[in-house]
Amino acid sequence: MTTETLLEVRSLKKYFPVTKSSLFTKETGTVKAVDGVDFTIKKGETLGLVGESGCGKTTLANLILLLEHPTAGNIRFKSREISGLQGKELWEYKAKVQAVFQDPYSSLNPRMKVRNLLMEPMAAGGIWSKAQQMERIGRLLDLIGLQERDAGLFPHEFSGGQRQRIAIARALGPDPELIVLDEPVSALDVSIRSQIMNLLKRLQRTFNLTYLLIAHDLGVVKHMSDWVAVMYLGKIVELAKSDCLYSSPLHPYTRALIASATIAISDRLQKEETLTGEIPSPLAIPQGCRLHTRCPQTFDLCLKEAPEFKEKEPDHWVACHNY
Amino acid sequence: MNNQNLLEIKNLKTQFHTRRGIVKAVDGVSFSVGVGEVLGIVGESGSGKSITCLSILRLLPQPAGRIVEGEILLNGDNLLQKSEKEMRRYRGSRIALIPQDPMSSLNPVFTIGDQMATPLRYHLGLSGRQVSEKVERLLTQVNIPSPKERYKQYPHQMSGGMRQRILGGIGISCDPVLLIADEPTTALDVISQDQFIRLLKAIQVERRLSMIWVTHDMSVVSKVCDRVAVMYAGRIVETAPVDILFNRPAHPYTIGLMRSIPELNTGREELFSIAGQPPDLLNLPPGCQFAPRCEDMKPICQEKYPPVTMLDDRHSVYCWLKADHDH
Repeated sequence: MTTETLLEVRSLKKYFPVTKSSLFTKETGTVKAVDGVDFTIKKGETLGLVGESGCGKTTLANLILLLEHPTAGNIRFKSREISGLQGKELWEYKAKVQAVFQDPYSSLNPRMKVRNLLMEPMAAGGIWSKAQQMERIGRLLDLIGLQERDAGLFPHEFSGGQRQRIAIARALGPDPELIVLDEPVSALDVSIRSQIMNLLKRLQRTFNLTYLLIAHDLGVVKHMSDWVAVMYLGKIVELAKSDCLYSSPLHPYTRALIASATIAISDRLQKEETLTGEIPSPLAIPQGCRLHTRCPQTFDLCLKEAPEFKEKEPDHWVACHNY
Repeated sequence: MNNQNLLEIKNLKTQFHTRRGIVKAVDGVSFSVGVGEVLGIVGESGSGKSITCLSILRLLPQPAGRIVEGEILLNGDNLLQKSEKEMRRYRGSRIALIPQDPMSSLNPVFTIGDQMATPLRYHLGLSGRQVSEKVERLLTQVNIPSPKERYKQYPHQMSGGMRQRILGGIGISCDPVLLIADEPTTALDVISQDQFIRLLKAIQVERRLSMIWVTHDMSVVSKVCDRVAVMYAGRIVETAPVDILFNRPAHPYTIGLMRSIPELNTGREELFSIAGQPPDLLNLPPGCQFAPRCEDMKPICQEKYPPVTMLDDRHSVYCWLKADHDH
């Protein structure tokens, strides 16, 4: 299937300076939050991004949402570089790329009615008249399973699951093409999670939406994604088609992640491949392969040289000296 | 395992008196924990799992929370009849709690060593060198590298996984007979979660500790628990050994939960989801609380709470669909 590439990310880097201020501000180090990331997402597909906290997933999302500016590298949306966008084009991009965040208790302004919450991104896009916006609100609420009269209520009058639905409706408002889903279900109860996941998938089919899904729950990612990228300390260590990644993971880090998330009654707590120790500080990233301090398969080369990110099998990329 | 019950809870009812009315957070819960057994309590937020645990320790928020009925028997001794002074001797020594959030459960202005020493001084009467030696031993037990240096450090100097392990260390420090872990891994990443579970499970097996492990994560349940109690709206709806619960769940709520978890070995088809929202505890439906969300509801479900049905000697369920007679 040849579909249009919607988002292309090339050697993207984001470094944050760490400063110490006494009388003069001194730069004492750099946090390499995102350190050379490459991937593409095709239209209508979902890329799942997994990794431990502090590995740079959210910084990556913020870069795509233009909430942060990259230190180096490119982000192309429909083959156009986004860093130089200005004026009308910039607003268009911001309308086409929307986000749903983790915590629906803090991502909705408690002083705004649902109607105003939904109108804000539409008004910013500047395409619709007030009357059209009102009409769209009715349709959006219907899509996510709320009623039109709910538009006059405040966020606190809804449950967690309903609030996340409102956040989704808000993202759909300006008719986006890409939605960045940053941990969209991890704050919700188990019985509500599957409702939201099904809703997101239904909306994706209806509107041919493209998702960048950030999550730490491997089950959720597997269920939602066409492609999965695994991040560790600012770099993608493995990228593959979802089924392939879960059935034959290559990178030791991916294997440990999958082993630790599996429901295992029959072989309870066997000695699966597991990592030892803590995630290193992003201020002092290990030399060579970043995982070598915790990896069960480390050998001398891993300490010296960082592995290249290579296509090991068709559509299966991995950065590890063992392959 | 042995049949002797360490902890037995009979018809526990805990309520919160609020301005909007009485919240029946725990509404008639009975269960037991055997010696060396790990009982998992599973349920959504608001189902009463944490309040059940806090009731055992008598640590309910005051003055709103009160235990209005029931018995909590530890080795046959009713904890609800103890004075506050007697309870202080139980907490942290015979019954210990590992709280949920490692970020807020440690005091940021005291060193790790200080905080680990407090229960040792209070309960075991240790002092001076004995304390520091014991703390170092505990730190080693919970896999904290270089315990001598860590002893003098503050919580913010450690990662979430390490802080959680320190809380685990505090939990086991006075050799409790019952350890209550209230969602101890929810705030952690998958890898640190796995490390913590392995560590605590190993300690539990080695010491034949009895544990109550509260969680909402089925993969955690599958790894650590012997038996599971499923809670919904303040009641236990099903209790079963872990393999039976996974293979033959009986209550429609448990079945729904199991089917709505996206597993690593399933496809990408539409997930099953339980319709509706968890009920408002101020305004519980009559009869079975799950009835309004249940696909197979019968008229009687909305009238009377179902009686217990024993599917086999260790598998009990509260559901009219499984009851063999109408009361």
